[in-house]
Amino acid sequence: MTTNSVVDKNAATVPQALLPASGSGELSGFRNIFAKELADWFGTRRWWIQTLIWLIIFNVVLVQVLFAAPVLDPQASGGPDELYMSGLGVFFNMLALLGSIGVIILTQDEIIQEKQSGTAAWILTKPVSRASFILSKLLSNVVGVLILVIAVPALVAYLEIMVASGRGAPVLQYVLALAVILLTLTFYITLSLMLGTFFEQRGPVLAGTFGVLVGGLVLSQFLPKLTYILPMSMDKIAMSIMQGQPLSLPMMYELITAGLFSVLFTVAALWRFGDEEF
Amino acid sequence: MDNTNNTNVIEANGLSKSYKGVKVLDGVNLQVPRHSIYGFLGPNGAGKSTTIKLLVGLIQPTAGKVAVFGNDVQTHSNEIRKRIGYLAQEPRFYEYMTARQILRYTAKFFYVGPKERIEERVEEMLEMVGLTDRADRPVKGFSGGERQRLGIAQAQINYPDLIILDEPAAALDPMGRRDVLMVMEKLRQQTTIFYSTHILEDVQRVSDKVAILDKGRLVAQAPIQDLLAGEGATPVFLLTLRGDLEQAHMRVKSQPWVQQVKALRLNGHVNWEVSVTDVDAAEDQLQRLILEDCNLRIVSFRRKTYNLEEVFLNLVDGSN
Repeated sequence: MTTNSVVDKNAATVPQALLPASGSGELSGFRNIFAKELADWFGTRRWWIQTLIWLIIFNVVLVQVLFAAPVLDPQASGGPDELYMSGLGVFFNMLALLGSIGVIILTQDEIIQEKQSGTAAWILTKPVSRASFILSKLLSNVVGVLILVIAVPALVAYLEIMVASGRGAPVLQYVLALAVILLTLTFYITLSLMLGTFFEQRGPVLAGTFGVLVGGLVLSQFLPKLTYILPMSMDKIAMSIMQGQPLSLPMMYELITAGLFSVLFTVAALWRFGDEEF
Repeated sequence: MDNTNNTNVIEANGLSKSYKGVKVLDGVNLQVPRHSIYGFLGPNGAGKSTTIKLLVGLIQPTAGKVAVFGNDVQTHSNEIRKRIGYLAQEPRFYEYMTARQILRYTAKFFYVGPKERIEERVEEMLEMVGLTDRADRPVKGFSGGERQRLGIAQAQINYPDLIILDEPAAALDPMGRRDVLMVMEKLRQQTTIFYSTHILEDVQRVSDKVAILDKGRLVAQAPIQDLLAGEGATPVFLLTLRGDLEQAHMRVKSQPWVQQVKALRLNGHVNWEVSVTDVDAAEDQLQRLILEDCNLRIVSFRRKTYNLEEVFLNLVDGSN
């Protein structure tokens, strides 16, 4: 049999017949899995539940800072400029910290669940590369987090800060600052996915990711240079960008290492999953 | 891509697999002919699922080679998987998806094209396995039989050249088993079917060729008729005779190709079981030797055949 059986048997006679899916290399099957993963984020009620959760989480504090405090204690809240800066500071601080916790929870069983339920083994018997499986998980989660955890709350926060302070943040700086936060969350997404490829249970994944987050936060109080290698003060970098200040060398290091670690975690995940036996 | 230069779809040579130093598969050689239904038989823990996982690239061999369509599974796994369909022993799907969504998702790994064509293919598969009325229900509510049928549908959605089924009927009730075997019978026209099982009755019913695996070793591989005729075992001829057999018994026993003659008297007849080393000689000469006595009658004469259970137990017990 020399013909490829994947070709629809009616291909010769039926117009617009099915054609074999292209791609037999490292990214075969990527498009299909990525579409399915995106549909898991946006094709179900998950998207509005997540949106609601994040809006509530951020606004519990932000509304207090921007709208309640100026009424209750006008002296302490200061003028519009102080309100503008404290609004941004609180928002970026929450986005970096709570966003990190959120993505750890959201992604801790992305790989483990598929391994435990047997769906990963099922998918991998189709013409799908293992790299496609990992990369589609990574990219879909980055997109989901970018839109639901960062972009929507950021838009609402932007408007709230503008209403409260009468001053709109410069859009380009705001976007750059949000990109810094996205890098932080990507660091935790890749760490979580990588640990998912190494372990069979959720416990070690959660322990590893929360260990880095909490341990890093605590240790960085005593070892400030820890921020050179762990993204522990990304909210401060975001604020520096908003204030138009040049980034210090430690900040640059922090940005670069966060990016490098994200790449490193992804490579490690690809390597480990490539050798996984099901 | 098809590098097959012979009629075998699967060729495994010296296939071995160890886990932490423990051999679960030991030097297995397989030849699966094109368009056959190949039964892969063995007791639980024999290494059947391990072999199948090696075939579909879910695990890597410790030693040996396996080629599917003439292509090495380790180096051409993705190309091979485009042309195979696989059903796991316990098929697992995304529980929140419906059967239709599962099939649509599976189809898109193999095809691009108009949505209507994808839907047509999905509908065809649903009909083939009788799941049309449950197509839009989430899989989490499916019974074992329904999951199995969905598993077969997803395995067939790309019209594979080779369909690999791991214990397709193990968890099913008799009706479910019958349905699965019927689907396999339907598919044999279009594809090669390699399936593992420990249900001997199913193998005898649908298989063309059988391999028997025990403790990671292949103890037999032959067309089912050969196995049932006792290939590998001493050929035995069964005769029912009437008359005084003393002289005939002496004549037959003295032949160099006769190993043993067992006699059993029953209802005025004598039943002989003649074990031989040369089937042709026995077929040519055995009846003539007996009929040299004119007062003897041969009521029946046939070569002994076995049922698969006997063959299986003989081979498995023998290998132990």
